Amino acid sequence: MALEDFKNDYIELDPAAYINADTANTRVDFVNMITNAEIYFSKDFGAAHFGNYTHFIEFYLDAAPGSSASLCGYAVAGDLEGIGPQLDAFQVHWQGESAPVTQRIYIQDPSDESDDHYNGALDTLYYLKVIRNGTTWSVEIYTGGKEDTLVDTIATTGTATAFRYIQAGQNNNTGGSNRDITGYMQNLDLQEAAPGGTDSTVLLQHMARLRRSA
Amino acid sequence: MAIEYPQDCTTPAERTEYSYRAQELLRLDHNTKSQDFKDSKISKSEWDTYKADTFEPKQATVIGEILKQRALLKASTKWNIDIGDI
Repeated sequence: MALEDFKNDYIELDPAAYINADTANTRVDFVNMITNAEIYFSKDFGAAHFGNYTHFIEFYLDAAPGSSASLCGYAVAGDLEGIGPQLDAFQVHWQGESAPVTQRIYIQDPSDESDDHYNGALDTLYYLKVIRNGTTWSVEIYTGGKEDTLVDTIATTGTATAFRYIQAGQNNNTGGSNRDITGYMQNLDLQEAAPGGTDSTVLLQHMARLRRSA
Repeated sequence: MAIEYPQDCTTPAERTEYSYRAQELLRLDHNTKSQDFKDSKISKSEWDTYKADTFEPKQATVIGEILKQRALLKASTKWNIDIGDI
């Protein structure tokens, strides 16, 4: 399966340049990214594109303040918002936690705030298998490689709504105090036949790009 | 596929405990098989078959049961609590 190309296929909302896909097209780096700003790479896959799915993604948190307010991650969403105000999404976050500072990976259905989490370590690459099956949302968390050593499985119950967007490097945007976070996410594999799927909306987007480049 | 609880495992609290233990044992079993694959004790085909036919369906069953029992725990009115004592 092909990996998502954030540099060429995603739209970046990042006025102050906290995130980039310069290391590799398939990787989003966050450099001292603040909390209270609306920041993300996103892609519109067309209405109701994401029903049941299995995605693979990798998270690495390099540094974070010892505060639970530092958030970023990826979301499969029905709207484009920051993590805080967004109610229509299956969000996978990670955040710095204090005493000791750790990399907490958690999933949340923001519509009713049901969630689950795993406390991992900084400077560790985690390989996530994200599974949405109806109202059952789960994340298998691995180290060592894709589906290598399983360290934990987290799960929660969420909406069965079919989602439209991918947001990569999404930030909090709740207007709290600034707390910066540094790390990256990479190798998002949507397990689809072609990057971005094959529905008519995506085909139209590709045709529009071809016309612009002609 | 469903979890068959022992006869004396009846309450949501006990079944939650049972399900989490089942999930931990499943995690350890996965990692044993993963190591066997890395050590070439089992083939790629055997590893893929284990994941598809054993690990993933059992994992889905256990997750479903944990979420079900967790919801029952959350809704429980078993204890008569005076919030003044909290």
